Amino acid sequence: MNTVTRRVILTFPPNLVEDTAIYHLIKDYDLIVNILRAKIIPKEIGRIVLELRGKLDNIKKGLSYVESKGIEVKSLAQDIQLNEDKCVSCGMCLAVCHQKALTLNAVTWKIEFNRDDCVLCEQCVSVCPLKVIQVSF
Amino acid sequence: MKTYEEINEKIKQGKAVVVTADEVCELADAEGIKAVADKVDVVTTATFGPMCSSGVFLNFGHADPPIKMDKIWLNDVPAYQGLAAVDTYLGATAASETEGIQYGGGHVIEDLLSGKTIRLEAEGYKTDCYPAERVTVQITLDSINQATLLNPRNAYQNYAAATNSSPRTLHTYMGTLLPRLGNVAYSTSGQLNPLINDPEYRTIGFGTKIFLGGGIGYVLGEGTQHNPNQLRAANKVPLSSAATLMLMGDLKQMNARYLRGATIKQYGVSLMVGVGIPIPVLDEGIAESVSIRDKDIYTTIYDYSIQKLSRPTYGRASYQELRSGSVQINGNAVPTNPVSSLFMAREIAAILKDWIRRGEFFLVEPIRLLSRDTRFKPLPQKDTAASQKDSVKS
Ligand code: SF4
Ligand code: SF4
Repeated sequence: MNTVTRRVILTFPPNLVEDTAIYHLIKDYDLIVNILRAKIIPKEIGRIVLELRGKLDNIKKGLSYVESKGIEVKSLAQDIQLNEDKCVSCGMCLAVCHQKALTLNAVTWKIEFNRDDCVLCEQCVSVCPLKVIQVSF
Repeated sequence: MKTYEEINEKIKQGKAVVVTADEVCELADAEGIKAVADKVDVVTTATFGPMCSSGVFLNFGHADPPIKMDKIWLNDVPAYQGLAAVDTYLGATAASETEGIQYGGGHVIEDLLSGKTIRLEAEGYKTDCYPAERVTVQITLDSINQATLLNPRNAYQNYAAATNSSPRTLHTYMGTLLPRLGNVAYSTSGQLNPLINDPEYRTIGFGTKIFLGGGIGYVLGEGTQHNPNQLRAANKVPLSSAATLMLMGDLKQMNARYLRGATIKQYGVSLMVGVGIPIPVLDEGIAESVSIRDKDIYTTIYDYSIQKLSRPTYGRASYQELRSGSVQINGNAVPTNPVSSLFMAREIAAILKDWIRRGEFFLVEPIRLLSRDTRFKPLPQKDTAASQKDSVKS
């Protein structure tokens, strides 16, 4: 069987943020795990964006194991796009971006998007009054 | 002391000294108020943000056979029908009958301005003058006779900031307010805000020529809910929402960058409006007010979770504090976020400055200044019949 790559978002409920699921994905399902983004705060909801490489069958089994532990798995073929030409830097999206992936530059007062801090929670998408933040697939 | 005529003469000769309301603060810090009064002729102020009380008067021209439009939709957004046969007023907050608040009057205004084709549907009742009962046509900004932006309430002089003490997230016209004092949202451009730079309305009034939506507009007078009696600080700047302006301009010469249809989540449709107002530095008193900085401009933080007209407050914060990213409430640092764009306001103040410097824009002396003693009243409580019923029950 060929090796395939899949990107997923794992959402950990507060009681599971210190769980060892990733260790088991590597150890028991023989997957290469690359953590693309992660935001984990003890006792809060945690999110990890993972890239998994391995046999498709093992990826599937590994992910059902993770789900069986109460961790939500969403497949990820998407990304947040901010249309900078259309954005007016009003700042309304800042209210919901807990990761501070969206910030206002304190000198220019222009919005800045830092993809590395974004955990794809999509909160900003419906809050932007000009609909200039979109999820691209 | 300078007069409007003298300043306009200087503009004509390309000699007028024009600075933005940000730049004038630096000059005042460096050289003092007297230097500002002596050197500066005009200070440009601006604001850019959602202003719900906005809309456009349209005249479509007559159909053949003619129709007296009694129900009107533009891209499914209903417009007002109680005017003459083919006149209407489209309000910015009117929501589409098919898409709800995802599309509304504000978006139609932006689309018209961007040159897009809009579907006009109208129904009428047969009269001897107007035999047609129904019409559906495509219109554009060029194809119609008039499109006059007329905004009953824009450019608030200061505006209250908002927070939320309840355990649930609120979706308001101040954007998302997170539970348990999770954030404070604020909306004015502080030291760049037009009426904050003219706190006692000495230069802004009926006839003042302004930047409106990327084109030229005029102040028609006080806007609705004008509240000059708001509590003021020692520098005369109101400590919460105060005066407002009614603005008008020909939509056809505006620019869609500065008029943007907006959907505020779970609240409704609005229009983001860009406004720039020049303030002539006629004397030292005006020089002093245009030099007031963010650190000396305060607003009041209200709790939006209390759905009553008189909401509890969490004290005041200056725009310098609000802009720093957090304010102190009950000893905790609460994150702040604006809901109007300082970035765009600065851009507008710079454009207006450029227009004046290049001799393309002259000041107009208002023929009547804004009222300073209007009372701001709430709706009367219950009608007499209803309260009588209530008293019978209780
Ligand atoms: S809410 Fe939208 S328009 Fe406003 S700053 Fe954020 S991305 Fe830009
Ligand atoms: S999806 Fe939006 S709100 Fe969520 S982290 Fe990314 S930028 Fe922030």
